[in-house]
Amino acid sequence: MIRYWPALLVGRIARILIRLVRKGGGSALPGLILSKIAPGILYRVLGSFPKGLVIVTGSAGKSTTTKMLVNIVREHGVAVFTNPSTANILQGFYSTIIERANWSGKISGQVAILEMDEAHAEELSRKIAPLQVTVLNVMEDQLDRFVDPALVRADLALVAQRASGDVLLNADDQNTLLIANEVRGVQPRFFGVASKVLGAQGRGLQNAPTYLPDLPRPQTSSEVSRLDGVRAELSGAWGKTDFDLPSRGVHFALDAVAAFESARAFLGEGFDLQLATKALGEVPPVFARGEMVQVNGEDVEFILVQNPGSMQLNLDNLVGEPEQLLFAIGRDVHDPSWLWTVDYSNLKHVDVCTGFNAYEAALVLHYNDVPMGLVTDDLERAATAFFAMPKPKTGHKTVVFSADAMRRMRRALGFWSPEEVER
Amino acid sequence: MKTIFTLFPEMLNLNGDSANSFVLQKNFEWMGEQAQSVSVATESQLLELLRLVKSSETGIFVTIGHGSAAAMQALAAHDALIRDLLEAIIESKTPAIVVGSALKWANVNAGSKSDRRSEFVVATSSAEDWPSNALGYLNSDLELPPVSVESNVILTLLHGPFFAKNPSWVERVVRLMGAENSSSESKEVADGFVEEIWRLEANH
Repeated sequence: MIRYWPALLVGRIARILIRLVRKGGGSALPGLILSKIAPGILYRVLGSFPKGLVIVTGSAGKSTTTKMLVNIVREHGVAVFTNPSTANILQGFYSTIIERANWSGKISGQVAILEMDEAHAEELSRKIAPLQVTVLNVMEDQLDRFVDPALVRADLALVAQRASGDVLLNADDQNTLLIANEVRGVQPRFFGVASKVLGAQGRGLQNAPTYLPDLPRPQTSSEVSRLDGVRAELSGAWGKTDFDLPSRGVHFALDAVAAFESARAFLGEGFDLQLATKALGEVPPVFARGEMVQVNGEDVEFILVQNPGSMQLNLDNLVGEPEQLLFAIGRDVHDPSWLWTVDYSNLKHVDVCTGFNAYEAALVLHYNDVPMGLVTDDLERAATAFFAMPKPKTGHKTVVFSADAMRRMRRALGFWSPEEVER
Repeated sequence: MKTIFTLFPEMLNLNGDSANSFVLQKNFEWMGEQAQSVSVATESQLLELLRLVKSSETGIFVTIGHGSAAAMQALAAHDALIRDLLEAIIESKTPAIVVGSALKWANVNAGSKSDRRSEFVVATSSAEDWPSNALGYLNSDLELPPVSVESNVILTLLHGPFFAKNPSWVERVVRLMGAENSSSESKEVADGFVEEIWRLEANH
């Protein structure tokens, strides 16, 4: 039997040393080191949960859906291991192992419920067959990595095919319906959003078009039947229930119904509607997905945008006209071309435009006639200027940022504790 | 009135290339020239555009962007007509831009492939009367120069959109469309951002 403690020791020492040098840092490099010196530990850890591995994947909504699903399953008394919302790639899993595993390379829990990046889910599921897979959607996302939505769909189809138990798919994305046609041996279960709810959304769910004749919408096991602000109603043959979403927006309602149906599949006869409703109603906003935080004693809304779809949905869901808004596009946006596919008509002004791609963002906003105040790629200077602005007369300050800009800003603001990203 | 035609602006916009027409139109607006964007998304509209191009209509520009594999497959029924259109565009010296997967419709060898490159590049061009370099995001495995010019057609693998990051190319197109370039406060602001982008990306 392979002994993993020396590798874990090296990873933990690296983590301590990095954190001494850089407050708030230190999660990526130790994971990379562990993946090089003990690659097998990941498969040993993830293969050791008695109830198996549950994967939540797709282009958008993974973090929120996973958080909701974990909450529901835990509410039913099942011990769950999950990954922090910022660690959904293989390197991130290794970092989580450094933090959580015991010296023999095991993590306690009955089931692992993990959100996984589309490409990494394909790689990981080659070695460990998941018990259950939930595929949320396929969007035009990270084209510098994924090149074409058809390639993402192909990866996700492979992940779904490898599930030994249930496959949960979005009934309102033609891509996931194509994936359903490729699943063998398991009858997929579908979740979705009722047409009257979806019809009330200007731009729908922003899924990648397939340009094929539409496949008929399958019968859903659960769907969002009503949405009024943050109040969502889910219904199915099992009955109906309603609760408050952690944030407004049809995409959060989709995440909720995906989590709900995934929990019904996983828990089987042990599923309790009241417990599930309670758990969904108690989910706080996921890290920077419409999250409200306190900075210098005032409320600030953090909104993470990761691709054209999430940018569009979040801009469309801005309430009123935010009086003070910071817009930050960081280094994670390798190819900022997609910024030009978004409709900015709901963005009336930007006080501060920043991040590594500040000038890319400023250029597209300028062309779209969005008035801007300060434009700088110095994120600390931008944050200082923005948070020095007097409290808005109405509402709260709003920060719209990409993942890299989010991490840098949180660190600049002193939100560096790794526990802040825990579920 | 200048007219900017965009072929299948919804479908051939995977990397935001349809914004080339938006950028061009906005530049005309900034210099006080009237310009309109026209979508070309049906066979009859393609035929009408072909007629215009063949009649050597001045003051027009055509943009054809990069599409997803699904979009290109869906447009396969129009392949022959789009090829004819591009041939006519080249022959009539109508200014145009063709990006990424759309190059398959131009008369260039887009079949050879190499390792995929996904990065910002400053590409050089030796086309006479055109700027000597261009900045953009290259995300392709096609074995083609990132930017070249045939007749008055810009053939490029660069996204960005191309015109937003390369105002000197816009100025050349404006002249080809029969207008005079002039400065404005809005253009100066845009040029300032572009300068910063070149500083960051060209040295990245």
